[in-house]
Amino acid sequence: MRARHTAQWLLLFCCTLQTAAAASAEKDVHGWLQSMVESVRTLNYRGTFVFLHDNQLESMQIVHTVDAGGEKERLISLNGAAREVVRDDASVMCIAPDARSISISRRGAGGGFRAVFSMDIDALSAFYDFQLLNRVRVAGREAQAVAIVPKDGYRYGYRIYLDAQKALPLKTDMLDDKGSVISQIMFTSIEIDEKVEAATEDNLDGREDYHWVQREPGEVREEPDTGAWALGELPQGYRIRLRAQMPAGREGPSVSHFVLTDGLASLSLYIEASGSDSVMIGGSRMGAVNAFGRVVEGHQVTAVGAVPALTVEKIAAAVRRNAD
Amino acid sequence: MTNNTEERLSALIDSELSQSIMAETLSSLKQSPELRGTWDRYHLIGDALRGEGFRESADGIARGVREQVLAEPPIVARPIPISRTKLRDRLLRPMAGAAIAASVAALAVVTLPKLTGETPTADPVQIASNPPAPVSYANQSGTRWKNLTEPALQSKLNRYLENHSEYASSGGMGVVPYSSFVSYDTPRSQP
Repeated sequence: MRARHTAQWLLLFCCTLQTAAAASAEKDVHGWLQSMVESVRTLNYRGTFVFLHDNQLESMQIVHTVDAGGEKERLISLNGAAREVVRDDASVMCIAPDARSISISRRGAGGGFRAVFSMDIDALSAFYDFQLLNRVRVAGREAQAVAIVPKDGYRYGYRIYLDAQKALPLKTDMLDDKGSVISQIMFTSIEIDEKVEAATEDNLDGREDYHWVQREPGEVREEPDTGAWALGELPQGYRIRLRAQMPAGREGPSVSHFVLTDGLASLSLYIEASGSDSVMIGGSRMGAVNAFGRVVEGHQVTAVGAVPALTVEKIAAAVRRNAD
Repeated sequence: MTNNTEERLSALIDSELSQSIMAETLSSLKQSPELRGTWDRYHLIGDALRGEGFRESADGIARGVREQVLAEPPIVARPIPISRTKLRDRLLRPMAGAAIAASVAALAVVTLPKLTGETPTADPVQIASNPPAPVSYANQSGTRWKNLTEPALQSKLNRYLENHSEYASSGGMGVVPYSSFVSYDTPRSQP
């Protein structure tokens, strides 16, 4: 009986090898994801997509163009208030007609942050499995489905449907640590064409009376120096990728900001002297986003990001004050 | 049984065979108990990978595989703290009727760590030193915090999240981060 089982599994194993070999003859899952990273940045496209999170469904339009001046992107809500985000390599502008406010942030030097977070599939393989799924149809186009499956409970998974020709993600499902879909983005129509033109910004007319806020990015460093703060044991794979000091302002005291990532999932850790008000101790979830707060030596520590509750909790718990 | 026949069997499950070859394959399936065993097994594996109930099979081989599948924790129920198999099932489920070939490919991924001798490290999921802090803030839906008992805290969390979006804006996923800003929800925190 045992020999028979062994033979069966061997047989399966052989089939498996064959299938794997057949797949690698075409584009493998790594190839698809690499193409995706490239396409999202370099193609001109205009499309409408729906965004489902929890039980809320929304629709948005995106226009993305690339020219000699770099990337430009404009994202507009099609339902509710016509909030929009216009960004290029130099700045991000968030326009909220409902709040009559426009906030502009300058982006860090060095071509923005994309470079920092471009997907390194080989490095990610330590924390995620990658699977090529089947072909389906999305937004009237043929799409190749791929899965990114986390190897532990510290990160979410993804199922991504890539345009079979252009490798743009036509549909993206984010799955939590229980395997439930927590958010979905799906294009209902998309035009991928070099001729797509950058969205004009003439819609600023009539908005002179808006409340304009200019946000300075603060000093951003990429070295692992954590200053007055140290991080103990982090969830496997997570490390500090950026550190910034946000100056004190109307919104509160000076804040130390750390961005941590495993190469795909990312979260921010904020540390500020805790005032008498608004102390946060414990966790809070909002859709896919989790936050966890605690107080360390008179400082409020808050971890926020689209990662499982366990991750923000463990990272917040890892914060210690360096001995002076 | 040749590999070619197995390939045809797999293609048959995927409905990828031409009419003439399908007839031929069905006929050899009818004649060969061994082939029927393989057929059953392919379905069982597909079912198991998708986390569906197993089919009843008259065939002893299939029953044997079923026992094996159930008794083989590394394949379908690896001891990982968080329900990874469940996630995998969900990932595969919408592909019902999907290629058994794809399922077999998925099996390659499932078993790979075992074959390469890499054992999943059982990451401790509990934070041992601190007792779990009380969860004092209700779960929220939508894309920004609202109705927290402390407005200052609510506005701070939203500010943090918006700030974080700038840094999270890549990973090759494109539009995800800013979607939450644009998203229609309660008016965002006033600057």
